[in-house]
Amino acid sequence: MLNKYLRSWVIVIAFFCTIVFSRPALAEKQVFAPDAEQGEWELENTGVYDIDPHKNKNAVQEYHYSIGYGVNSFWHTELELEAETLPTDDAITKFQATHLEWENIFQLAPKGKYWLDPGIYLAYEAPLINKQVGQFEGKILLEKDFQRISNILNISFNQEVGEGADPHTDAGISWSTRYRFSRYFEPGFEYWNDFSALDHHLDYNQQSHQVGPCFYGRLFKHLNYDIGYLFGISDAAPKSELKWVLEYEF
Amino acid sequence: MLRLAVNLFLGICIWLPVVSYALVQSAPNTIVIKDHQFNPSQLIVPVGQKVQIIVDNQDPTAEEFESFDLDREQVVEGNKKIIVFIGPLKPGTYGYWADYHQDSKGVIIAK
Repeated sequence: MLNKYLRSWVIVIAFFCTIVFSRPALAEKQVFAPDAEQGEWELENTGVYDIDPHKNKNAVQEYHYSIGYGVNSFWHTELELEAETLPTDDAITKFQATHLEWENIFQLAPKGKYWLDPGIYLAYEAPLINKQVGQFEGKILLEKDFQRISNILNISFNQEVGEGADPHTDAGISWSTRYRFSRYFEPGFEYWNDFSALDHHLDYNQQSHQVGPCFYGRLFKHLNYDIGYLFGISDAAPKSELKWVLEYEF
Repeated sequence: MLRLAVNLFLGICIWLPVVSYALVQSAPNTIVIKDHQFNPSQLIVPVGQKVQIIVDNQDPTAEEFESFDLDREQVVEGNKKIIVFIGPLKPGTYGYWADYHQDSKGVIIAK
């Protein structure tokens, strides 16, 4: 078991050293736990819907459709199709498929062994639209449980690749806290932040900051939900945003 | 900022095992899965300590050790063992079950 986790660390460190970043218009609003469940398949739909008085922010939407598999006790992999409406200066474009993404979560230690449960998320997004760029994304995943209160932190880095790619690194943070009241209902909240480019110090209102209530749990056997309503608390963020994750495990 | 992120990541890699080693751990306990049943079906563990549980699957097929109370969900392959880390726990009873044979249940009692 120790060798399996050591191999994860080696893969992760090697990939982390070569990571490149991008500037996503919207991000998949899911806080990832550092978990890999061996042998488990999942079908997942995630979505984001923005509500804002500005024309180029209102009704901006992003959806992800994915199939994932727990390869072993420390590696979960997922193939995902992303579709969205893209913002322009004064409106939004029509709904279209934009990227195909390969996501991987590496669980770096058995849950509960250390004071923090660590993991790494690594993904590559390939463009489906001509003249769009691809992007690499990496996240540090950390989880800490205090009895029935679960806390998860994701520290994200993104970089574009390909012709016309933005050379700057983007970074952000997402946080989830939930109270595990029952299998069917876990109330909590999430905080999302996009610092934008690391080497450009932006003012608070130029960064996107969002916070809001979220609810998690099981709808019925094998179907899990994660739904939330985020409020923009900086000028760059949409005024409000509905987000959801539906996951069917089998 | 990138340097900070890298330092943070490396710091976690170095300090996490150190911090965890400092925590008190009791001797490991064992739960055997045989004919899709847990033995013992009741396990007593100390309060306030991190506990190791060895789940020894003596059946030829895989089973999943799952507990909402403990927030654990781990597959143990046939004729293999896994280690499940739980705690520190408050006094009480924590249920678990075999996800592939949900009639098989057990409890962990912390006292």
